[in-house]
Amino acid sequence: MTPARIVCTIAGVTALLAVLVPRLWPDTPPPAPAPVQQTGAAAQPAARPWFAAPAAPASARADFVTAPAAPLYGRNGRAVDLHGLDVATYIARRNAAARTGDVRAAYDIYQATSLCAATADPLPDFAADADRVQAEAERARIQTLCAGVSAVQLQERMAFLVQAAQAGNRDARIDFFMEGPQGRPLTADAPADDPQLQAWKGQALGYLRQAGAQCDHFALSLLANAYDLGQLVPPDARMTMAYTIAAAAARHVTLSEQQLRTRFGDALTDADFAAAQQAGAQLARQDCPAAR
Amino acid sequence: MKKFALSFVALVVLTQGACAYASEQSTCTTTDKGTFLTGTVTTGPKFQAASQTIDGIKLSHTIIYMRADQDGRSYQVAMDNVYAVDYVQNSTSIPASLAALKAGTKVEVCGEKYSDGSGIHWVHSNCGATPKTTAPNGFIKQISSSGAIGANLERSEAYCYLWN
Repeated sequence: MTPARIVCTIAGVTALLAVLVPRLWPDTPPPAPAPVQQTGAAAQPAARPWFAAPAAPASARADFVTAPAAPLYGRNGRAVDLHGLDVATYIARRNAAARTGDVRAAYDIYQATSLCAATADPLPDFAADADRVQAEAERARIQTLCAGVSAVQLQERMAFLVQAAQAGNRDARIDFFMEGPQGRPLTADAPADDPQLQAWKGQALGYLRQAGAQCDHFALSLLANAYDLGQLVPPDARMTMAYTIAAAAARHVTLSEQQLRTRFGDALTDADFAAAQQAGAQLARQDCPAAR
Repeated sequence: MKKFALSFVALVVLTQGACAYASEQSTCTTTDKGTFLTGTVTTGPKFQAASQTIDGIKLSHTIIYMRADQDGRSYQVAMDNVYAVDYVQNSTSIPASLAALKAGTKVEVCGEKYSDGSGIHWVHSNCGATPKTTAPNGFIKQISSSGAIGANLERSEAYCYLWN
């Protein structure tokens, strides 16, 4: 039992007594209400060692708008270089190679086509009009680049992605998860018993584990998140912690017991915590032997 | 007797709720070195495009406004999308977990106030580094109508490699 829980238990017992005592001795005055605690003064940072959100309102920020020639990003978040071509031409130049087993060409086609996969996604509410204007301009630029790409090609990108993943391309293995089932975002309300979804989950988990086994810290972190959220597997705090340890080890970072207790102490019993520590160490040894 | 039972239940719930907030506040200000606020979201999530890109990752934010219980003031809350567990790399959309913070939602946040006091940011994990007031181990949690406090929505450490 943590000190906070002990305090809460005492408070609960006090509450019980506070109700019972006036019933037994009606003349006893009612307990005084607990004082409302106020927060302390605002922190006044002198410097921001990492990145930081701006202190000024969003509308005051114009640097993003004036940035030169923004790079293109696929749906997997990776930057794509079309070498000055439009997507249809880029695909056409690699199609034959990809279809005859050139894994690099297959992955390049996937990457380029993935640029076009999000052009119909709704834009969010923006905090600043300038951001919306910028996003709409970017959307228009990509729609122009994607003008000759057919719906069949969009769908086929996932087959090229699988081709690359099956051939051992680590990025492709991660991208398969990032793309979501059938190349659409994974939503919380998707029917859990959908066989296609189940198949995708199994395949995505397998690919992430394979990428993790190649000591890819990002894949290991995504696995930690997957166990945390229950995206591919039922939620499991022990596995979340184990993959968090392994992901850190892949970056040559050792998480202290205190750091782990801060994050996972409340969610795990002592026995589960110890088991997760052991599992994490084993994953790190197995996936990242050179990182030790 | 029914009145007695009801008042007992209400008192216990209130006591436990107040206790939970006090414990969260203590964790935030003492252990995590942050500023703690609770309140109600007044303006739902909006996407703020990145002003910075590191290693090809655009550091976008989700912005909400909340009215704080502590002082009744309105605060802008800037949440880094990369710390959301369901963040999709470089996506121009709000992660679903943060999109759920619609107007009327109760939240508690632990982070660093803006220097002008008008908002709060750094409401996310500090990647295991020792917390400082300028880099707290922050969080943002949803409080359900029953008073239950959810998990930190900004706990993903998948992108910590960008900084350490």
